[in-house]
Amino acid sequence: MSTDSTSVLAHHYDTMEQQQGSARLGMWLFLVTEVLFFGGIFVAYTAYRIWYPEAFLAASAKLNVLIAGINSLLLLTSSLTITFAIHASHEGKQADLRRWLLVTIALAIAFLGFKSREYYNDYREHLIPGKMFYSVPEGEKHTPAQEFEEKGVNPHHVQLFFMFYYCMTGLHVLHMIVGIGLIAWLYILAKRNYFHHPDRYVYVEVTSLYWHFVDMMWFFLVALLYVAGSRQHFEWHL
Amino acid sequence: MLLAHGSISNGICKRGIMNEHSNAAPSKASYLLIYLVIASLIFLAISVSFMGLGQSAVFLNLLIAGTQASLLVYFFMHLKTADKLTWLIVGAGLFWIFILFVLLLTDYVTRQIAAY
Amino acid sequence: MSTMSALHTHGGHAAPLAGAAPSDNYLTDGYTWKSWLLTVDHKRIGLLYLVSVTAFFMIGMAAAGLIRYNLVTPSGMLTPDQYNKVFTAHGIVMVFLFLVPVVPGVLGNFLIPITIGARDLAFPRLNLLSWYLYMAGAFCACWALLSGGVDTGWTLYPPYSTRSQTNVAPVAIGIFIAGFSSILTGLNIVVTVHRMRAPGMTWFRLPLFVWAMYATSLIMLLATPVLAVTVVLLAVERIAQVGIFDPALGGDPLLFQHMFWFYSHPAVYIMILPGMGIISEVITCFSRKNIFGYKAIAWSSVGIAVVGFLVWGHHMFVAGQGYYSALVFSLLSMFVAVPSAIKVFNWTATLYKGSISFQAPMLYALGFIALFTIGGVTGLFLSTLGTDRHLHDTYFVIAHFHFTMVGGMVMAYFAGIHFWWPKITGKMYSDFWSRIAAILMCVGFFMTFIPQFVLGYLGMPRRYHAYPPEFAVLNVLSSAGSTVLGLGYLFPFTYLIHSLFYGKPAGDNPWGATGLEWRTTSPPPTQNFHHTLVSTEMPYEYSLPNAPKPTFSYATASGEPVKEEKANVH
Repeated sequence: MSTDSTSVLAHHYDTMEQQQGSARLGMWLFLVTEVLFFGGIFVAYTAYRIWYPEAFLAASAKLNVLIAGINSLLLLTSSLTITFAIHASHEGKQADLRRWLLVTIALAIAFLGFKSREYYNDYREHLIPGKMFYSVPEGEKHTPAQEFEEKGVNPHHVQLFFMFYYCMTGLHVLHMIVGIGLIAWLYILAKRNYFHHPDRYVYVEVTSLYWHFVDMMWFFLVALLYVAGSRQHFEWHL
Repeated sequence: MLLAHGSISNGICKRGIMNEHSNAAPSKASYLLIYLVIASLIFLAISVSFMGLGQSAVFLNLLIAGTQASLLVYFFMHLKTADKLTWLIVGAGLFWIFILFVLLLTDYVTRQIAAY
Repeated sequence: MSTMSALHTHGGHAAPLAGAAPSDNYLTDGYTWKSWLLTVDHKRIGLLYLVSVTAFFMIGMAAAGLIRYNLVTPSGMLTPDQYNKVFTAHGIVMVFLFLVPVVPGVLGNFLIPITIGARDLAFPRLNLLSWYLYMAGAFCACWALLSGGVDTGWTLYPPYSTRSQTNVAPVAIGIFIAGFSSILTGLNIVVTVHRMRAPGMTWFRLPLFVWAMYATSLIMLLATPVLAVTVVLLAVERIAQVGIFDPALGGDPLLFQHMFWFYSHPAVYIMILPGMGIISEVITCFSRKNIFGYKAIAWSSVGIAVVGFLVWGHHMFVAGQGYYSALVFSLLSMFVAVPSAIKVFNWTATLYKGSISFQAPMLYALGFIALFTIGGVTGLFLSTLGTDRHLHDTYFVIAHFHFTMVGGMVMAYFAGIHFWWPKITGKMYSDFWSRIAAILMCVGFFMTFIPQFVLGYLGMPRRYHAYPPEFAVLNVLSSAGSTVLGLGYLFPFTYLIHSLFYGKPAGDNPWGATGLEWRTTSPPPTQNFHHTLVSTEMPYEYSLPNAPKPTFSYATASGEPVKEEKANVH
């Protein structure tokens, strides 16, 4: 261990290994709490899906899989780039580190851009539980409630699906925003030469653990929400 | 009670991905390969909704998402080179999700059949 | 900070830290507001928790007093609406703002690093954040409860809670925020126990208090997030009214109950496990004997933590859950009694042929064993489907959980406070008054809650502000007992504060206890030890010839020390 390392060693730790190991352990444990957090809302969703399968599948078919697919690729790519950032940090390559962090942030913001577009579309189509569900959208003849009734499906149950859709994707978006904040903070630190000490790569690593978790949750959201229903043909509009 | 000093030796290896005792960190190329595998699963996941499987699609959906998650955790989150404690934590997370889902959904699956 | 470098020298005996005068301790290390409110010292954070938790305990006690006041006459002294708000406030404050955070926050924070030979918890700043989150959540909840109140009961069941015109949302937010305090404390403790043990401190040399805190932290980490998301869904439902839990719109009120109790049942183990850890420490010290069955107690703590997650449905036997589901939960609930029973047997075996003395910590501990056992066995009546049909939502349930929570947990907490007070403050409190208080609490407790078992069996429902006149005698008895109990609680408040100013200096090890915390000064220095330590002994080695000796006498009635206490030289 070089003398550099002792200056980044916190007073209550004895070795750098202990400090780094603690950071990793702390993040893994936090991710388990996040798994239980998302798990709670997933199990609630599943309970209702068991009770109202037709309504949930019919509602799912209204979601935009093109945007979902694009977002999946964006998020996956950002997982890749943040992993490259860890290596850059460990090898002391400051410019590479900053670049990979910026790319990750850019991909994440792109995700949020497409998500906003998606939410806007849902708003235009009045796929929002409550009063809007019973009013006619612009350019349409029927309310969403009527549309689903015609398909033989209970509109209350469909609204329940959409409630879960907004809550689950909303929670995911919140976690992404926090993640972007963390990565932006890493970037700021990198600009201040904080990662000059290679031992500090561990903080990029634990942030990446969080980020990969957010990515993982997205895959499950796609699986449960977007691709549940049967579709006839692929819609290429955004 | 002896008074001495020594470095912490908890007996638990705290290997990260960059420890000089471990294997060399994975190359960019290997990450890229895993990336491509997971990306192809994204396409597969979306195409499931066009297969007309109805309600049984969910098993395939979850299988795909589970595979994607496993690849992400094993390679990108470095579970492959992590110590036993980390594996235990991942296992515990899965086990507790299992408890939550199985015990809670038992009620939803059996309530109509066996009302109390 | 530069004095820390002395600890990094290798080999041999480390010299005492340069410049560390004998009177320097964590209490004298800074007197400004900032040094307390921005501290990262786990001991100071423990004291921050002590002050705040005590304040909320008093609010909860006031609410309890109002409940018993109301029940003095069959027609009720308060209006039904007032009564609803009062018992809701009592439940929320006592569960979320007292019982869950108290031992992890106060004694866990203070003791865990010292007892494992570390300088602090793994994440000191996260620890401070935990306290601020707790305060934020507590203020939010208390504001909601005191300004208008909530009338749903502490369990916040929908659909009433999603329609009630009272302050449900801020209470839910307060609980959400306080929940994160809990999660972060648990996280800190788990990482600390894994990574920060002193050399030689293997898992099976850990004090049982640490095992108990570790198990508690596992529950805090795994259960609290589900409560968080449940409360989020409740808030969403209140705003959107879309029917997540409303049967009229296709929702299921039982889904809330499933998710709520997935946390709240393990939560009762969050509340009791630290208490059990305290009891293990106190019983061994005051019977001067090694604990009987160390591994059994250690593993049973983890066992309670795990099995406690499998039983939540027993709160919903009459709520409409499926019969098959109810059967499964009933069976699993029987199993969770086993690890608790193992502990009670082991404590009793520890007492056998021990050299027992009846200082206040021991009186509380003995009271715990008796009262917790009664509470625990009455739980079996509730986990049996047939009897629960009759007893659910009656005073039997209330008596059951008060026996375990108050007769159990609060007693254990007082045992812990009295046991470690000399270490935390460096002062001894009045032996005489502390024993009187303990006895008064036990007597008051019995008087308050034994009648409630009878009332429940006779069918008096809980959460009713009025009751049939034939229940009057038992209710009056219970209310009278609560006055005695309340008086009992006032005593420690008085003599403990008195001891801060007028108490005798405690010395390093007034009880002659084993454990690393007794090897350092009272109060400890900021860095916990004047030297770094290597653990070479098993815990609780009271029978060895070189076991520490108490420096305060058991024999004298006044509690005066028999001999001059002297600081234990290391």
